[in-house]
Amino acid sequence: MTRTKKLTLITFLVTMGVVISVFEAKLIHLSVMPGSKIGLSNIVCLVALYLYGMKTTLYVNVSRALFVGIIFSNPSSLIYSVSAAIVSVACMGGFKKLLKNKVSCIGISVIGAFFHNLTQVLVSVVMYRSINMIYYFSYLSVLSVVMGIITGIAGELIINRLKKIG
Amino acid sequence: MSRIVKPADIIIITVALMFSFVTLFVADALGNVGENRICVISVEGKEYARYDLDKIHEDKVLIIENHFGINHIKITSDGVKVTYSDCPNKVEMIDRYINKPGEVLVCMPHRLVIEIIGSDENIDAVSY
Repeated sequence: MTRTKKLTLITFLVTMGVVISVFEAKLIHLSVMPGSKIGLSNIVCLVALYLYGMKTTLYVNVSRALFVGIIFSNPSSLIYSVSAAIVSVACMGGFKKLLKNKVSCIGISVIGAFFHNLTQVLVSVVMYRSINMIYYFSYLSVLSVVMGIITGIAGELIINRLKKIG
Repeated sequence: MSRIVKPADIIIITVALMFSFVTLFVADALGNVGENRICVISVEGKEYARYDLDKIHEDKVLIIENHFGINHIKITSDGVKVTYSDCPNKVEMIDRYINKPGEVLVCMPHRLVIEIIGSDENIDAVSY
């Protein structure tokens, strides 16, 4: 793939990610934890991961986190969203490589959602030196698993379509 | 659907859910060693005030105003509630009081955490 084509692609994916993030943030005002809206934007990560590999996904996800954080939301929440973005992509890529055919989009998506959340909570605990957040983590975690399943299904369908197009 | 789901998926989902439940128990256990119901209010991780709910004789309204925002916390012997907040998402302004150990009200944008713990301490009220 040529450099220009790759650049265009990444830009497109990042834009999609940002748009989805902002859109769902307006819909669901549930920012219990800063930057906690992982929800649908993970679909973009899945597409990037399955079609273009972990390195591209890392670029896409971190850029998305930076854009959304700086332009649309609180810059002080950047440490949560960026670290969560990095860790969740690393875990998704790692598990995908480890389990290869034994895991589908759904499992990878759940892993992404779960680790995204876990990272955010751990960062909160470190930042505030207080273990209080752990209460919210248990609720958010279940929610993220459910969302992970939904995005996984959506991702699988989209990836299959895209693969047919080429 | 069964074409898509693979064995490892089920394992991952189960493990993730189990982990969440375990965390819930841990959180519960951490806050609950003792008889008295103490309401602990912290801002930015640092403790701001604590009140023994059983020793409250008249309703108190604690106003916390800092560069994050304003929160009014009502403390009664029935429990604790946030009555006013200039927070954009009013997650912590629920319709009922929290009064059982383990219950928490959190306003993340204001870095405010209000929790009820069970403790062996004997205090009336402490403010910092």
